[in-house]
Amino acid sequence: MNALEIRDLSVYYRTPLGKVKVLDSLDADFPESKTTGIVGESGSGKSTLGFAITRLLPPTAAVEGSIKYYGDDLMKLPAKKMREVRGTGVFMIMQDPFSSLNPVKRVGDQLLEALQVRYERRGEGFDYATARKEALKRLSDVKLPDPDLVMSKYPYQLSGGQIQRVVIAMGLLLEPKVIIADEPTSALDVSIQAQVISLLRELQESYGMTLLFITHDLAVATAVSDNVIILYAGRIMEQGSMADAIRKPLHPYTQGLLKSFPSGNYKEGKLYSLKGLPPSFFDLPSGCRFSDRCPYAFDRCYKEEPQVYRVEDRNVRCFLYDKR
Amino acid sequence: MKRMQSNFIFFLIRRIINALVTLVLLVLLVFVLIHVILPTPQAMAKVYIGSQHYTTAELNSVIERYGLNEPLYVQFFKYVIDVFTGNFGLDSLYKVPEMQLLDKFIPITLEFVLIAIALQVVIGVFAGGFAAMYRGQVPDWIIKVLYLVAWAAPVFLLATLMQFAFAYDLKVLPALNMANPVLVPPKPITGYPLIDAAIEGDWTYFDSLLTHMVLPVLAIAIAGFGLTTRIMRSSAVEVFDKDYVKLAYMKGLSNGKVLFGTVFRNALIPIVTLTAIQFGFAVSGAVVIEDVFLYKGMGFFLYQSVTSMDYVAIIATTIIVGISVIIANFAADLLYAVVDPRGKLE
Repeated sequence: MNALEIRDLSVYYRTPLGKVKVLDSLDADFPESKTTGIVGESGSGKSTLGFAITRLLPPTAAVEGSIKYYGDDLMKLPAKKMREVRGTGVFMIMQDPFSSLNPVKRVGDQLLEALQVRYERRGEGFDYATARKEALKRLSDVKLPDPDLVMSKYPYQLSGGQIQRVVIAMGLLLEPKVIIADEPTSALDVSIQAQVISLLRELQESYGMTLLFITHDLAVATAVSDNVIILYAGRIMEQGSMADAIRKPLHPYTQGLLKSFPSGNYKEGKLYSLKGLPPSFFDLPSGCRFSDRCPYAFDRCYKEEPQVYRVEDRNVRCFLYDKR
Repeated sequence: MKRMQSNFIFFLIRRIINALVTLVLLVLLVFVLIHVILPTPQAMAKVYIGSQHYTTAELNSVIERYGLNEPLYVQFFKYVIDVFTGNFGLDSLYKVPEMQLLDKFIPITLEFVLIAIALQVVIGVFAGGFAAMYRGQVPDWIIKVLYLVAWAAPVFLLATLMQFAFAYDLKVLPALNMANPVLVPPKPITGYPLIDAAIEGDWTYFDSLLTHMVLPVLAIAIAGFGLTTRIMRSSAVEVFDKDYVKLAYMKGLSNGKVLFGTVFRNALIPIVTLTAIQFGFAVSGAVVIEDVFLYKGMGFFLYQSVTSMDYVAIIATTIIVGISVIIANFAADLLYAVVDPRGKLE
């Protein structure tokens, strides 16, 4: 069963320079209780996807297509129903820990607020003492020492890693079916990154949540994901099982990403790097969006955009796999 | 917890010292100004006499009584002590201690200015918050036009137009005075007319006070809500873009809870300081308003003192207005520390 089914999803932003299409006709399934890594460079539309699912895009955005959450099309849900999906249905952990908690409220109050939402939806009465106990329990679940003290603190008194754990604990308290983690580790120190990632993995497994792990770092994504979606300039380039993608990347972009991080055997020599930068949304290449950075690009790549080809149980958007 | 409390006490002490030093500096400034205008003891004594007809003996006795011959620093020292003990001297017109007069007029002004400021903050916060919710859309533009017009209009024009429209033309509100002059005012207990009327249970007078207060209060609030709206709008727009607002929605909180618990609480922080500044403006702006509506408060008194060259009253009123601004700023600092936990406690 799929927790989320995205069909033909496009997101536009109105900007002073004109309308830009940040996500272009996305199709993706997110199977229940599995982790899907969504990988792409900055500006590829990764975070936009997360906010589109939770319908929290800025007012300048316009959305087309459908996002089915256990059968309900979120795009057509009335605002009130959508609110009931947020929190206990879908919850998102945001990129910058330092701005993700309300600075004028104590951490404990913010956690209890989340719990109150869950209690109310389940029709249970809110009891402060029980709620507090549960919050303390979850804070120790995410391996925060001295949860009592953390509850009484204001967000500015905590470190980035601590806040990210608090937000994860908040997610656990809500017991959502789907958690979207939008670069939850990119603002953290490397040592803390590994801890937070293994924590997420652990929690995903023990609670059977569906996890959407958004990152720019393919290496990080491989550590947690069952499936992978490679985004490039608003398009899905490759999609399928993570293990397969690492073993045998199909799209030249995926190959480039894989080659550009150091492998186990540290051989001498320069690390591979993809030349160039992702294109601007205002000035997309007329053919394949990756064409001007692709080492295999040929004539056709510059003229028309490839469709999605089904290769070895995976989807890939590249003419190299056109078996006509 | 303990450490935070002691931090707060230190913060409080520092702020109090700051306020006191500012007060002394204000008194020094006024003192210097007086001595520039009235450089000799004789000139000064003439002001205290308050009349063109005096004998040399009278002049000398005033110089003697007020110590106008003493060195300046002694005079300043005494002046500061006098100001802090509320002794501004005898009013040159009424021949009663200045403090008695101020005691009567200050509460009247304070009462309606405070009500006006409260109203202005409420209008400004809601209008600004509303505009931010609909930023770039029609409600935002309508609010912008409204507050710009109100903001740009001079206070005296606004007050006169309102008086003309509601009192003289539509005849729905009284044009002049603080209360119906036919009614007997209640005994002054606190000095605040509304509170006194309420204490004595004189509801007819209370009612009359309220209806007479509507126009002056509205005039101040309308003239002042523009700035509050503007600051609230921009601060709320900024907060709306913050991740913690998205997270609040992400938790599944209702719109109302996100708006009041998260957006407004954070967007209100700059409003606290702004309101303190506006309070100072409103107290001095009350001079014009009180004159238009014949509202006999401190502004009216100051206006009278200026036209009749009552220096003692002018100096005292100046210092009182200054003190009220300093107190308002002090209160803003305290409130700031309360509303923003990141405050300047450290």
